[in-house]
Amino acid sequence: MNRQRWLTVLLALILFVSLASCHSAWQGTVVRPDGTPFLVDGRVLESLNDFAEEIDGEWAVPLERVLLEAGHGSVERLTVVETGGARHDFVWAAVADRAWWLDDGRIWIDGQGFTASHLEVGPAALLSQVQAHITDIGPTAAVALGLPAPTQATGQALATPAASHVLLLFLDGLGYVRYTEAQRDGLVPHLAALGEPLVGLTTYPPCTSVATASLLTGAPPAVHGADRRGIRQTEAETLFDVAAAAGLRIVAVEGEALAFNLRSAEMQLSGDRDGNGSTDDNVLANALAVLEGGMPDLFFVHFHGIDDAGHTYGPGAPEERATIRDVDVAVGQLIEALPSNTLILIFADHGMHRVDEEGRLGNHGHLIERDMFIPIFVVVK
Amino acid sequence: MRNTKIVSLVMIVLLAILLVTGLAGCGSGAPKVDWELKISGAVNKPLTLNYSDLVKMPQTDLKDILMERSLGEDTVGSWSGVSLEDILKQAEASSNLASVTALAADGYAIEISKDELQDAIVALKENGEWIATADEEHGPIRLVCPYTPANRWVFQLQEIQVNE
Repeated sequence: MNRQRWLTVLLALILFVSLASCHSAWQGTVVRPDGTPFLVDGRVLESLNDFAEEIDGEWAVPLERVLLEAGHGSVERLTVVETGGARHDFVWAAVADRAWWLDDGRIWIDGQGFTASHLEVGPAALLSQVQAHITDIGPTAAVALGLPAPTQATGQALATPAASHVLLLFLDGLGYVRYTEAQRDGLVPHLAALGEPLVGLTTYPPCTSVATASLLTGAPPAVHGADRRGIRQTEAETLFDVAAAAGLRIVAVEGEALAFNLRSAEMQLSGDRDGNGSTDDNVLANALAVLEGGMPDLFFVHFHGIDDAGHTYGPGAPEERATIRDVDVAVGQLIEALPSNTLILIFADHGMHRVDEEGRLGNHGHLIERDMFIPIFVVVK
Repeated sequence: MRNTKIVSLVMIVLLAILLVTGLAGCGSGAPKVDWELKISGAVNKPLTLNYSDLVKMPQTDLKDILMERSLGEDTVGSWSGVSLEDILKQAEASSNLASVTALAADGYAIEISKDELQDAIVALKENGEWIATADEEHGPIRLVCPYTPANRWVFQLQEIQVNE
């Protein structure tokens, strides 16, 4: 009888231990930017469970989320090295939206499964040239106005003299790569006249709401909490909160909709009331009207047209080129109307890459050069 | 004999209690929700409607309409609620209405042009269920503009400003 009981307890223990170690049944490695290994097992995937999706009946984490965890800021190529030694090379931009790390440990790329010993990452060429981050924008504006940076900011203030006013000029969807092409093609004379922009890196995923949270809080998504599309507000302190607490006047001129909660600012939406298919002219008119009444201490102006045209027609299409030209002219007019001693920070939230999908020819949201790099202009008028 | 009587009495009392609570839950069946919708801007009579006011107003159904989402797959669903036109009439909105700005409790806001407001409702139900209980995060009331993309279907709707 006693022996039977012991046997039962022993079996239960064995079962418990084997179940508990289920997660560690497999292990893979991503080579970090510094060459050291980043170990990936069931527990690492579980920590990314919030981002998991069901792929062919299995729970899977977008591979980009794992690459990001391993410290990669932007990816050009990925090599999957199988346990048997076979190597498979991928251009990341071509497979980023179809690449997963499955719950059972396999890598799933473009419909093919691999049992990988490790993943090697070729970084985007621009990564070695990064001069600023989107999280630097909030702290830079704060320091210029003599304010403390938002409490949870990790970004650094970029070198700039103090100014009596700050303009945050937000050009939605005009990524760094696209900007350099537009400059080469002579589409942006007003922006080009301001000098070379800094090579900036946005936060992942590269989309408007996440980037807005990052630039206003000066913090990465893991801190401000808007770590995916669809989250519209943050608990973290923003530049606007800091400025409002100091009694400054903050005005935000937006397009037809707010991509993100801009609390603490006086807000003006600019719907397409004239029905010409663009809100950029409405944004410009509202922004100029604000300036006529007096430049706010902190002025936030957001042009959406380049992003809209990029999604609809694709980067490089004639309609998108025309929109870039129009926005450049609007930027020129706005700068002209600013009072002197204004710090002007012009930046994008993300870039855009070409896709061929029903209803759209451009998109963003991946850990690739065209999406992740942004121009950041720091100019004092 | 006496025991049987007591049991019957208890049963009757129990049944009566059940009946009363059952009936109390009847009527509209709407959940009790603490929520207000403000109508402001270019109106003669600024309004504040609470959730139960909206429940009592005439309800309009929008059957099998497409919801064009920017995130995820498009969906087809049925919605019911109060016609926006009725609400704007009650507030005596300006006849020069050019657009409305819809504001949500989480700070989201969007300006929606007059054309896009055709057949719009302030929805209380989605696919026959109260949004307030079935999909709390997107409720309790949601602006549904049936001919526009979902960024105009403002959930957690708190205020409608009329613009001329």
